[in-house]
Amino acid sequence: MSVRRFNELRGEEVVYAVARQDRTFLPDTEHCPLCPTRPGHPPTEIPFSSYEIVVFDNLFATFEAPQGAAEVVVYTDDHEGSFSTLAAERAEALMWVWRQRYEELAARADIDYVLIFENRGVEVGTTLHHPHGQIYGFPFLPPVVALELAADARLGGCAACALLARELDDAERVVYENESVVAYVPFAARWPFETHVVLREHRSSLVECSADELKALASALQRLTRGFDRVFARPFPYVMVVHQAPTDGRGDGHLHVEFYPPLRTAEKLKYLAGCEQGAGTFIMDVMPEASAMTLRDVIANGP
Amino acid sequence: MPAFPPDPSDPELAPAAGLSEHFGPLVLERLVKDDGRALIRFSRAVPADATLGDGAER
Repeated sequence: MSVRRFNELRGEEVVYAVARQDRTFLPDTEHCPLCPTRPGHPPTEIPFSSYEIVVFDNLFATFEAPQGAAEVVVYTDDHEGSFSTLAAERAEALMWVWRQRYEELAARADIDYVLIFENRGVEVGTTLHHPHGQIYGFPFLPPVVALELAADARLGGCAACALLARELDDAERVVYENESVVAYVPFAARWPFETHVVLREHRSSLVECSADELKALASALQRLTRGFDRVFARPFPYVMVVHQAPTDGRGDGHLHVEFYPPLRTAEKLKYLAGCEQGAGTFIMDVMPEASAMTLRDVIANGP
Repeated sequence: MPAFPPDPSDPELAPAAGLSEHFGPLVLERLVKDDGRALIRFSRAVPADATLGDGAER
């Protein structure tokens, strides 16, 4: 069981999950715990010889009942590939899986916020290459979500709606759009190719989306992540986070997916160094409009 | 917005043998691992006469 301590200087919780120190670290393909269990081979985490999508409680949990949840979401039984290479039907099914987990976890009294995310690439700390994401059921409201709620209050309504309208009006940073979803590099991006994928309509969570919107969201996420991989002609590391309404009744949300990619060139990473960590101010080497131009081009000229 | 919970009588959501729940286009199979952890297997509920798209998924 993890331990929480409140950091008074930062005004935020810190979670100590010391059992995670021993978690599986970059195993070879033969020992991947997310692959199917095959005859004649040791059992993996998943006791099926094939599967589509599987969700299970994380063995090395940051949170666990009755104080939250930590789940692993495995996108495919194929060890190779990534979210971007899933068949369109599988990516669409994943949206429904996210929705089902959000709804089920939201109903629990010990969970205040459902965080769905993926860390892709060793550059952002992934420890298993098999295509997968994670879900944390937070037993408290995390600070980023509190900041989003504060932005709603500051702007006098849904901040995501207001920012989407501004981006559509400017158009300079929009990189992709379809009937239900818009993707753009935000005006004040903090990462070289930070991108937000936002529902056009105000939907508090995946639960409020129509089937067509979920399909459009999956399509947009795949177009974007395929574009990412073409920016530097290499697998593009990113942190992908689904932002939705808190589940404790404290405020609304606007469903959107944020990507925080750390690469600033094919070989160079953006680090959180003195100014970012010590002052909380991001220093960027590239303007969002330049990143958007690159992304827009690679998305338009690819699958 | 699609109906929730889904209508189990919907022929497009006909349950696969031995599977227990539906959610939208998905069929859920729940189990508890030996150490007590929960696991859910999600599969698309495909009508018997449906084609399988690009085929890469099944």
